[in-house]
Amino acid sequence: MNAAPLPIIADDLPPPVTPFQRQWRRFRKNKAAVAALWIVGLLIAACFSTVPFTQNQYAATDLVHGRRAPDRNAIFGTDVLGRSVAVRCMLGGVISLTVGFSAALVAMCLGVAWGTTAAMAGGRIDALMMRIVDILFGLPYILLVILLKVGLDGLLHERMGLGSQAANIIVLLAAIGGVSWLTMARVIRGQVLSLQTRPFIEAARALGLPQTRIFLRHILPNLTGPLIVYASLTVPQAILQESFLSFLGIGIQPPMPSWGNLAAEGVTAVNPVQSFWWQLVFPCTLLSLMLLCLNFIGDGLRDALDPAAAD
Amino acid sequence: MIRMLLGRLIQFPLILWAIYTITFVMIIAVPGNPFQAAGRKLNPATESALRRRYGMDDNWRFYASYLNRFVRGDLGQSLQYERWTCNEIIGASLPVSMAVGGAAILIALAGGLLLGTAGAVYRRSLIDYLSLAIAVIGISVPTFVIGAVLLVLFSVTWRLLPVGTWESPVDLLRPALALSLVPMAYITRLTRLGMIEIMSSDYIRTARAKGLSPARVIFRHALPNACLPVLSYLGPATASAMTGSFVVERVFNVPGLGVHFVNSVLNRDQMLILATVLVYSALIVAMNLLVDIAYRLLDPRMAEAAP
Repeated sequence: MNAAPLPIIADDLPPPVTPFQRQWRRFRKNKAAVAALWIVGLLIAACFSTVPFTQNQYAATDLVHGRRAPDRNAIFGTDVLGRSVAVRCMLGGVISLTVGFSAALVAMCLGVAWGTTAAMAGGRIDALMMRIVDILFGLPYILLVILLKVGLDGLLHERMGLGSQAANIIVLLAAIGGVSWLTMARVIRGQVLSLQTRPFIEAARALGLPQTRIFLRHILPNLTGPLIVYASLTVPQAILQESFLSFLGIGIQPPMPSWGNLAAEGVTAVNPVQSFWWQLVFPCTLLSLMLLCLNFIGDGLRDALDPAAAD
Repeated sequence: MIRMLLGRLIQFPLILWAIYTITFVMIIAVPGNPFQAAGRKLNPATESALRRRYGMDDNWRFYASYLNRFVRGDLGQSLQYERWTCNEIIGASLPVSMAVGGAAILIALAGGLLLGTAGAVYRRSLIDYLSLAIAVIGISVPTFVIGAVLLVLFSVTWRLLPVGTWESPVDLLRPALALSLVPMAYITRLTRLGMIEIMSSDYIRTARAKGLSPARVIFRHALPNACLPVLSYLGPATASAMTGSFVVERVFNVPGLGVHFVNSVLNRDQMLILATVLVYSALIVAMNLLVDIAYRLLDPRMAEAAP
């Protein structure tokens, strides 16, 4: 046998496509999701790049020029204390987005930990853990959020002596994350259960791999799809919940702005007698636009990463 | 069916007990209590006397006594509104919330089923995009903003309804409309998805082939099957709409349960927290049971599949 070079058959074939490239191509076909991605990117850039300016300006009052309609000096108008609505919207965006993304991260960690533990333990422990999730689903979430927030507030602010604003934000995202993980836990548990019956996991077990290695190397990478999809759908939920809490007066505390408490302020500024519409319209538009785009991105990701579940 | 019903009826008190226990532990664990509400400083003797009066001096005794009272249908004494018992507060506000929530769910169901079906039947038409728009607005605009917009539209722009009154049945309309948008969004999406899948199935082709009218095919053959996912969403949605939304109630000045619910937590009115949570959870569990029964009636295969 002479060692002739193997015939090169792949010469005219297109270069191999990695799964990531394939998913990215599928995502790019979804025009709405791509547009949403651009808008979210621009909004994030606008909010975060102006922080050096806005963090000094957000509470600068100018009582003479209170409640002025949008004009050349204040593009989004001013509020009752003469603070620029544009500046407050930008910094509010930073805070809302931070809370939203971090809360989704907290929810993701909790959900994955709970879901995989239940699925891998199996049997009675699984049943018990999932019953707990069922019961927590039955509890009104607003009660959970408020109690969590109140409880953590005491812990962080009074015991550990954190600054009140910082403590408030941390508590808020922990509380929102602490109630948003239930769906995630169910989805992840289902996914792990179905993965465990697959031949490659059986093979790994037959090879005698330890449980932790099976989990880290073989199960976790296969969870990324549903994980990314549900995380991307949790972010808008978390932002929405922050805005509700701010509306109730237990979210971000003034004078610190967030889209939620700016919109809540705007609601009180629009009344039948006089309507200072710019205080409601600008934060609401930004908030709704962001939520809308995040939902579109989530849908696009689901279609790209999990074609079977697409409509 | 009977076995399932019996099993679920036995579970009912157990679930309520679990929820009671969790809520109880949480309100004990959270700092602050109703006797230290803002602006009132009690001396320790008075506080312990008050605690004794309400049977709250010992957590275990409080736990047992409240459970005992709850079983007999007595929800206890509100600590914040001293002249009111929780039964009176809930008795006065729950019917209001249930009326608003019921109306909201009916609007959401009618609108969602219609839009979802129309969107699926006439795909990529104007009505499909309208259904998409409703779904998108419902999930991405906060309820309090929708409420404020409705308030301004109905009272200021069109001058149809007065602001912030609660007298005639018409006042039900705006809060119900505001509350209906989120469930309508979900119902529209679920219906549309279900209908698209069902409309391409074999038995629908058969129904068409034997010459049934399109309306009969859609409403008699396709829709009942397509709205099964809607049904399982409907249980929790109805329960949460009926126990009232704090936000909508505050925007429209509705004397409902949602306001008491949030205020009770903020005031640490422990009796009222327990009372409202238990009423809410009982409603959720009952709604889920109703949904399961309806599911089995619509899809007999379910009865064989699960116990």
